[in-house]
Amino acid sequence: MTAIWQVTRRYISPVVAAFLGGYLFTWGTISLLISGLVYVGNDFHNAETVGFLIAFPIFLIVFFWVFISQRIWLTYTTTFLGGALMTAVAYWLQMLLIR
Amino acid sequence: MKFTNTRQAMAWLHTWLGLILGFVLMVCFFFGALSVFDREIDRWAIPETRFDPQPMPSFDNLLINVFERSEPDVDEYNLMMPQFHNPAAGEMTPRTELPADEYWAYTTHRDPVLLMGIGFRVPHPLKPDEHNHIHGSMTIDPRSGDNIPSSSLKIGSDWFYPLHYSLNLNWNYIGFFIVGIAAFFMLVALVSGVWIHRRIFREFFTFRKEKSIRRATLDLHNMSGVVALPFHFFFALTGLIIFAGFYYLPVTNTMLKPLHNMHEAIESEATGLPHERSGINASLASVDAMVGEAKSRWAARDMAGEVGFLMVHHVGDKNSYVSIYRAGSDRVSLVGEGIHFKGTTGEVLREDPPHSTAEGIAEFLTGLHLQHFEHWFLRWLYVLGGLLGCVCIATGFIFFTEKRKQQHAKNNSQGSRIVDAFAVTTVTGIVVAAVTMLAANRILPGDLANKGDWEKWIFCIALALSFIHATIRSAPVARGEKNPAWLEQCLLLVLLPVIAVIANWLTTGDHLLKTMFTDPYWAVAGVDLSLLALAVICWRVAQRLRMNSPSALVAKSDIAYDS
Amino acid sequence: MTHETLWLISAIILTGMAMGWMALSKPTHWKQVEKNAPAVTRLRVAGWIALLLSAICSLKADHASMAVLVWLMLISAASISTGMVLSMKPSWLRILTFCWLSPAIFTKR
Repeated sequence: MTAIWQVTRRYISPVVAAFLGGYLFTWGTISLLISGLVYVGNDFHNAETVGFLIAFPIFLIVFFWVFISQRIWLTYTTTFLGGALMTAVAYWLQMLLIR
Repeated sequence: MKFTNTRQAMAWLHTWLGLILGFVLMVCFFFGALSVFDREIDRWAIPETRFDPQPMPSFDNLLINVFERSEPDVDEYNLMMPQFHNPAAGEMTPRTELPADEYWAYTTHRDPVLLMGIGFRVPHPLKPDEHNHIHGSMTIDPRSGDNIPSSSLKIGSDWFYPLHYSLNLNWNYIGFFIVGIAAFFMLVALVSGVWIHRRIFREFFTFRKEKSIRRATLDLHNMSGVVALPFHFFFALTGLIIFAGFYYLPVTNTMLKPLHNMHEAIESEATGLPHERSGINASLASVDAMVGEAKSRWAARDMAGEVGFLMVHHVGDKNSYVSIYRAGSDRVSLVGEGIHFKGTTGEVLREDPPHSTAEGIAEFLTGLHLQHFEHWFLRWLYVLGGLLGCVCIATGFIFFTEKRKQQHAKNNSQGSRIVDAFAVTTVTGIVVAAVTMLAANRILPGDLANKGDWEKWIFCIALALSFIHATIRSAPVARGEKNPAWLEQCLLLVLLPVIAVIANWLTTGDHLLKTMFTDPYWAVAGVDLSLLALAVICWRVAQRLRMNSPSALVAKSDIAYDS
Repeated sequence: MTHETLWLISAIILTGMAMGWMALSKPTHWKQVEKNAPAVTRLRVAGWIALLLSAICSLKADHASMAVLVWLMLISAASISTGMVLSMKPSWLRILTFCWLSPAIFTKR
């Protein structure tokens, strides 16, 4: 049992954290980018396309950064907190635009 | 992270995620490679459709009659109608009396048959603002307008093709997500693989097959990965981009949906294309005349071409309009150059404007994956790329077990054995399943009810049997020896393709001399020749495996994937 | 045969030659084919020139966007073929060590 726990703690949880953190960060970036671009007057479809084009390279880079970095507090705060924050800002921008 | 250095972390990622998701990626790459020739496999599987590709037929004389006689899908009606219908507003409209709201027809330069569809509207909808459509679709022979029976499964475009992006697991889109995660970790494996493989250019052309099996396998793994690196990277990436908006990053379909809707309303106002029906009945002008106008406008842009997609919106209403898109054939980017006509008069309402740079890049990237272009040589190069991906993943599996099985044998561990059984299933097993399905398609009687469903079941059962066989026979791996299942399934792959080719000859009369020389039909000849090539290759591989030479296993993965 | 096909065939041959010369410019591979020492720089230059010419031929054969894909995939195909030839029948590459203008141009003097 301890072996499984150790493998989970040492290997699986960093991968899952890097994947989820990376995804959340990407989600935040893309939503902020799209709503931001539309806010400054860009076409919605264009903003959406730009978002999807850069999304996966960003995800990939962030995934590696979180996985490799030794400074866990920095990577986790940036990705999870940063991702959530960007998502919230994007949501707020959308509310401004819809009104 | 608890690794001593970055390289070690990369090696860990590459080994373990590559192993686990490699089994999925194998399916994606192999059936993706087959999808390059999905239409040709369809022709092989449905003999009544073995005729030359046809252009979009006349709408006024032929298509409209097909649309008018078609009905909504029974299952979809039974499932969706109670959800869409508002009982307070009136009686539920019987299935065959639902009015049509949109018509579409789709063809490519490789399609003899024409795919058509209808969206029927619900007269008393519960939520009038939503898209309440019940669909019906059919495949017709465009020369006569006759339906191709829906019991005949298009094995290429309706089974192998969706298998490579959804594993045909449609429950809650689970297959799409598994493939999406696998594609992302494909990118991770490529980056980490390049990182840990230091001598990329020095060993670019190196395959030392005379060396130890481990060395030779690793050489082949590196070579097949590196020479086709751009292919591997861009196909995984573009696959993700194609589905990003729907499944993987549905930002604009969930969180930013209100913004999306607002934009759609603004757009429909700006384009002048009516978003809603007017409620006033009106008849449709000549669509053939609109097609003629669209073609002359494309020719004026120096992009002369055929119609690929045609759609009538708000059928039978004063607000109806007809959208005509060009078929992709002479360039990579999927550009429809859509032109929209007023349905009642045939006047041009709008031409799609040129796209922005970002949209241009996206069209190129999706176009390079979806390959609507007309370029047979490039298609074969794509098959090669896909098969190189298979070789790369398969050699990865073999290297994994070769590196560990002696150690596992000493420790009494079953690790290598399990990996080996999965490797047999995803290397030879999926090929066995595919070829069994093709052979079954020719052997099962043509008038069998639900023939397509039988074929799907046979595919799944063959795959399951291959896995059971590989597992039962894998005991020697736990002792550090070779799994005889590799050889046995290889021998099966010598027999099965030959059966398929002979069955095709006996049931249709289309033997290779006919399809190649006396009455050439390359779609069928190509499938037959590929099957025979597979048999020959597997025969040679089986001989190598029998010789028990140290490089035997390597040769296998090198060539077993040509079909 | 159309002009496009001829250009495409030229592109295929040139990419094959390019990757062959690139491989031969590595002394380990040269040793599999010839006894004397290679002129590494000349082989490499020949390889790059052939690669450039194959790109031009691809562009002549197809629409630019398609030509890029054909060219990149041709490089993959030519590389894997070169690797397999070196592994199975390296002597076949001797056709590339011999130049018709000057027979020993790729050997070190």
